[in-house]
Amino acid sequence: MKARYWVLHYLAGLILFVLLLGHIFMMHFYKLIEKIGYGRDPLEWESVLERARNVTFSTLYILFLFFALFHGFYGLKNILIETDFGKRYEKIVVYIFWILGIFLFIFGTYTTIKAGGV
Amino acid sequence: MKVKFIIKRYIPELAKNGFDKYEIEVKEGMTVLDVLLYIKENLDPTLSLRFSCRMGICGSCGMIINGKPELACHTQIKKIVENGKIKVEPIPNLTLIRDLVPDLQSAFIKHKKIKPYLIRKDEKEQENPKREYKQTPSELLEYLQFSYCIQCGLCISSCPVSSTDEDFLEPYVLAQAYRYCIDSRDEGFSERLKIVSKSHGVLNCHFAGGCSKACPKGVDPALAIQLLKRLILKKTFGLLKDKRGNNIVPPYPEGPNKDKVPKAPPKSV
Repeated sequence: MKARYWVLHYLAGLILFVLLLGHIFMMHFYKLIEKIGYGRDPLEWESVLERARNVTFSTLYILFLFFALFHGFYGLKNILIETDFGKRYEKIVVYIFWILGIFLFIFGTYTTIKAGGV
Repeated sequence: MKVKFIIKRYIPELAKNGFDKYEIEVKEGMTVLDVLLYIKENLDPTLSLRFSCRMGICGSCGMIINGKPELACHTQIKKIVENGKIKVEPIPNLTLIRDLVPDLQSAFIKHKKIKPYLIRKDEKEQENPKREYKQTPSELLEYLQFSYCIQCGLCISSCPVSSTDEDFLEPYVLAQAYRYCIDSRDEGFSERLKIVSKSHGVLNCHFAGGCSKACPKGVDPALAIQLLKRLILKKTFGLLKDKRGNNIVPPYPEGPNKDKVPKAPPKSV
C-alpha cells in the first residue's frame, strides 16, 4: 500500500534530521567534544578508522544510507510522477528508482562493512 | 455607474479564443451573474455560461472574477470593481467546453470513485431501514463543515497539484472522502483508504491551502485533507481499527394509551 511508503518517507525525514544533527555535531563541533574530554579531530586517519571499525557507527552509517536513499528517491519519484513525462512512464520511473536504490544500498553497505575490516 | 466587463470567449467551432468587452450601466445590488445574464439577453446571445439557483447553493456559476475564484451569483459588482473594470474568466485546470463553461465531468467521475455515500457492512439493513441511524450532535459536528461542499470546482481552480496533475483526486473530492470516513454511521473507511492513498491521491497534496481560500462555502478542504492524512497515518501504525457504524434508533415505544386512540373513520371514496 502506498500509504506505508508515505509514512516511511515522513519517518525517514525525521530520522535523517536526527542523524544529520549528530553528524554535524560530530564533524563540526568536535572542539566542544574535546573540551568535555572526548574525541579528537574526526578527519584524522586514526579517528576515521576507529569509527569504521566501531559496530555502532557502522550500523548508524547503514541506517543513514537506507533512510537517505529512501527519502531522496521517494521524494524524487513523487516530484517526477506529477510531471507529464513521469505520469506517462510512472511504472518505469518507480522500477528504476527501486533498482537504483537497492543497488546503491547494497554497494554502500558493502563498502561500510569492508571499511570496518570484516 | 458604468463598468467595463472583459469576458473570456472561447468558441471552438468558430476558432474564437480571446476576450470580448462590454460596457454596462450597473445598478445598486447587481451581481456579476446579473450582468452576464443581461449581456446574454440584450447584447450577445452567443455568450455561454452555467448557472442555476442564483443564490450560492448549486455551485454552477463558479468563475474567475478579477483573478479570484468566486461564485458569480453572490459577487457584488460594487465590491470588486477595479478602475471601472471587471474581468471574468472560466475556471482553470479543467477542460473548457465554451466561453465560461468548464467541463466538470472528470471531477465528478473522481467524486464517484471515492464512494460518497454511507457504506454499511449490513447492506440488508441499509436497503430496508426501519428507522434512522443514531448520531449525537458532537458526532454531527465532526463532519458538518465538510458536508457544505457544493462541488462548484473553485478549489480545483486554485490547487497547484490539480494544475499540474490531471489525475489528482481534486481537493473537494478528498474533503468528501474525509467527510464520509469520519461519519459515525459509516463503515467504509478501509474501502476509501485504498482509493485515496493510491498515486495521485491524498498523499500527493502539497498543502498549499489555496482550496480553502477559494472555497465560497467555508468548507476548508485543506483541513479535511490533512485530517484524512492523519487517519491514514493512524491506520498505518495500527492505531485505528475499523469502526462500527452507529446502530439504528430503537423502534418507537408503544404508548400507554394505545387502546384509547380512536379508529380512523371509514373511507369516504
